[in-house]
Amino acid sequence: MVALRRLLGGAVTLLIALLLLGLAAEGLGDPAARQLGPEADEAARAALRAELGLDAPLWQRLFLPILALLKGDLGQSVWLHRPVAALVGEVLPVTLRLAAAAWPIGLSLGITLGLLLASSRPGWARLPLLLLSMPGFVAAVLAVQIFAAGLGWFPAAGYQGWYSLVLPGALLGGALGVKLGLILQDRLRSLAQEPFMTFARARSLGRLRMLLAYRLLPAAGLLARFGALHAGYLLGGTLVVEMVFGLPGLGRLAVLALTNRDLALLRGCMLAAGTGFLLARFAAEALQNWLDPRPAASQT
Amino acid sequence: MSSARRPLALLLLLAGLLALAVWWLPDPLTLSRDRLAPPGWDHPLGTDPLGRDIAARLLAALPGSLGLALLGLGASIALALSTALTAAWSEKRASGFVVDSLSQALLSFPPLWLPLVVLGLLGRGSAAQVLCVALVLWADLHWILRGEARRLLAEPFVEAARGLGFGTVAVLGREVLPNLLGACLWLGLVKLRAAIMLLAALAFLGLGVPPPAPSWGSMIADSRDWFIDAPWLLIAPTGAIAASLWLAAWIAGRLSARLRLDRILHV
Repeated sequence: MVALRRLLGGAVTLLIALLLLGLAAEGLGDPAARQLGPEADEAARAALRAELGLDAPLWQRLFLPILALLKGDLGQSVWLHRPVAALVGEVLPVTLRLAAAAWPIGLSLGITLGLLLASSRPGWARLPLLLLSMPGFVAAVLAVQIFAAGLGWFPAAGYQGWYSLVLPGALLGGALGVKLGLILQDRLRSLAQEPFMTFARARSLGRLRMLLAYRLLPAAGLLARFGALHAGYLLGGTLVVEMVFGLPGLGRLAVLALTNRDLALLRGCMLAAGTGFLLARFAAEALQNWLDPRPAASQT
Repeated sequence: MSSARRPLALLLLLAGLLALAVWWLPDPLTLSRDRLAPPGWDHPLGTDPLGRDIAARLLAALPGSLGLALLGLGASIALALSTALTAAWSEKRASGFVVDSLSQALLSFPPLWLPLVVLGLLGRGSAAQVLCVALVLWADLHWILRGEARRLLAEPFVEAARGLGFGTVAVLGREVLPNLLGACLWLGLVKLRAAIMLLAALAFLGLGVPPPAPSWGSMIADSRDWFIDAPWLLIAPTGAIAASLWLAAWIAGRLSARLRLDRILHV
């Protein structure tokens, strides 16, 4: 129930953000004049305005896009002169593939790291913490320059098949893994204090079985929540990595739309990414409640 | 030197170094003929491809990187305090519900997409950057402070104040708020890291305050094509970010040990 309510709340917020972007697109002056520059004559501007549908009265420009949005029409990109829906449709496969590459790497690395950290001395956790104090984009820049531009092992920019996704996928997966590893080791350590661990020790189980069956299993809710939530974040396209690697994905399209002041395109990207986040968050909470109903039960 | 004075001495030393640097270094926008000069006596951290002094640029980026982050953080804490007190006070009423649902909804968007909307609406000025930081950090802060405020509202001294006939403003302002300030200070230092990282990432993506104003993130972005031959271009701004994160973490650690915030906060 809680998960469903939050899904609805998120959907309303997304809709408000989309409407605000639509309103702002109207308030930002004349895109035709901006695009053609000061030298263009009035006839050319009028022609471009007609092409973009900007010659209609203001109330029509404000409300027709909202109606069109509800009908599934995302409008026309001012910057690229093409339908937004087609542009977003083109970049989605790249982002989906990147997410599909990074997500399994991140989860498996995170679980391994969490188990290793939880069964070693607490001091070791400082090492991944240190890694996290470097901004992610510095790591991405270093990786591009060393492995792609310097050594030439991978393509440095653009999307040329699965091979282009190795480096960004590994970076994203690595970042995800370090984060998950730290959270997981924290949970595993606190689970070690639980009374059922005394029972496990009394059964004189092996260390591995104790770790997996008595400590990792109760943390399944955390894993499910983290996994689903971050699947959503990845589906939104990771802005920084897509920009650094020049991958034509959803995040890069959104950033470029913003730098070119193309709010219709930004709105289209936001709709696609936002839907992904909301569904992933819903899945995250539903999964967690199903795997570990204790917090939800104590709330009501 | 006693251990209590050490942080103060370190901060004073830092301030002194900054003052010295401001006096010593050339103008951050002046082009010179020593392009890509390695660190040396004239340019302590080297120069960039246009011959501008890196150390001076790092310093000039201080207000744009650290300053905006601090402003955004302050705005975020102020916003979170007011919403948390509202939500905790009127828990079963509409105003509390609205604030809670809004923060829940914002939490479902990843940290970099919210700024895209804000910057799309308001342009790339400093105020928009501050608002980005404030909104991104707000939801998290709201939930933590709301929990603290709820706990405080159930305390006997609040009960007593209500029994004495104190009004809403008096109870919240005189009983609850002073007890939240320690938590705010600590949260602020913890969240400073997120604020600095967010602004650096935005600047790196080319969405920061427009040039020529330097910022640490955009300096890293500019260094991309050069740092194999001139590593100081990348190391200096990365070091500045890492150092400010480390400093904030260190102060937060000392403060929480000093004020026993782990006991106050129940985290």
